[in-house]
Amino acid sequence: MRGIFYSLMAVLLFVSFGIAQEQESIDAKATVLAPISFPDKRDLDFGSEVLPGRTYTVLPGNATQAGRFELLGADDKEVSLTFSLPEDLDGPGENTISIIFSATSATHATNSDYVTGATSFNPASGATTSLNGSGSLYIAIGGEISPPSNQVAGDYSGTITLTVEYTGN
Amino acid sequence: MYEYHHKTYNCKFDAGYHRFFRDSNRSDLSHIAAPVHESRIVSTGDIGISITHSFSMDFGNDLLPGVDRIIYPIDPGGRGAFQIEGEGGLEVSVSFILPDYLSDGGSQLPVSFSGDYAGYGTNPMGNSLTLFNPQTGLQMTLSSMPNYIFIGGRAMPPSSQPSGNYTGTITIQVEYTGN
Repeated sequence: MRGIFYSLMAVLLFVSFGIAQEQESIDAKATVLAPISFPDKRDLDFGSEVLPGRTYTVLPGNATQAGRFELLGADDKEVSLTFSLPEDLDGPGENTISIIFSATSATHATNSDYVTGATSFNPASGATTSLNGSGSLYIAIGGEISPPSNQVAGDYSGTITLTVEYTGN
Repeated sequence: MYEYHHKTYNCKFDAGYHRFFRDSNRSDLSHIAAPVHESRIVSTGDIGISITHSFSMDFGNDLLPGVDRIIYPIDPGGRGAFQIEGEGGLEVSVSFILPDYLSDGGSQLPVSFSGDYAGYGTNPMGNSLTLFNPQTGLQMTLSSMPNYIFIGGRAMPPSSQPSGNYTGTITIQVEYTGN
């Protein structure tokens, strides 16, 4: 009888040891900085009086016609700038006007006037730069169109898309 | 007749000396120097598991939307940590309850722990860790020395992630396997 008891105790002890368990929790924490936003933007506008057979160039420093993007994000963080650019502006029917962007068609600046200290870059290649100490950056873009002499009259437009991403630096 | 007694011990762990103080006849252990961690061990014998000196995991205070942040278990900065003590030579299973997201109360920050984001060893500095996937856990043999488990992970804020302070809970479970 005593032998049976000890055997039973051995089983009970083994089972009890087998279920000894401990659990503990810790926090996982993260602080995320501001996402990039576009508080303001303005269209690139070649004007309402474009004449066939002439060339029109808008420089990024043009105060009234250049396209503009105001960015806001985390202070001093590096961002990459990538443009998606149209090859043509679409007009009435199937009519289009070619648009060209050069190596100096875009600028980025940390000053809100878009000009002071601006750095030129090719919008087709993009750029990498940093937001200013207030988390702002100012991007301007120009371009060039040369409608042929037989260009059909009408309104022409295309879409310029700027993608801004943090690089992690 | 024969009776089987199942006792419950209240134990407190003193971090300064790495010793257990146990008193099966007293429920008041206030006379023991200030404990760092208190755990209740239910056992019919001296075998128990304690998890102490836990440290939170911190992905940092400067995560950028659209940029992943990875914390490795070998990185001293940011990794979470647990100190485990038990019966040396016995096998335990280690498993985690892991969050899919950290939350700031409104928004969610996706996180992942799938990969070699955990490691264990006996060096408190995390040297010579054996890496494992915390999603799947592992079985390991306890050392008679304190055992340390470190955990990292990946935070994956999308580009639209709202700014804020995000938190979640990582829970470790350690259990003797009987081997």
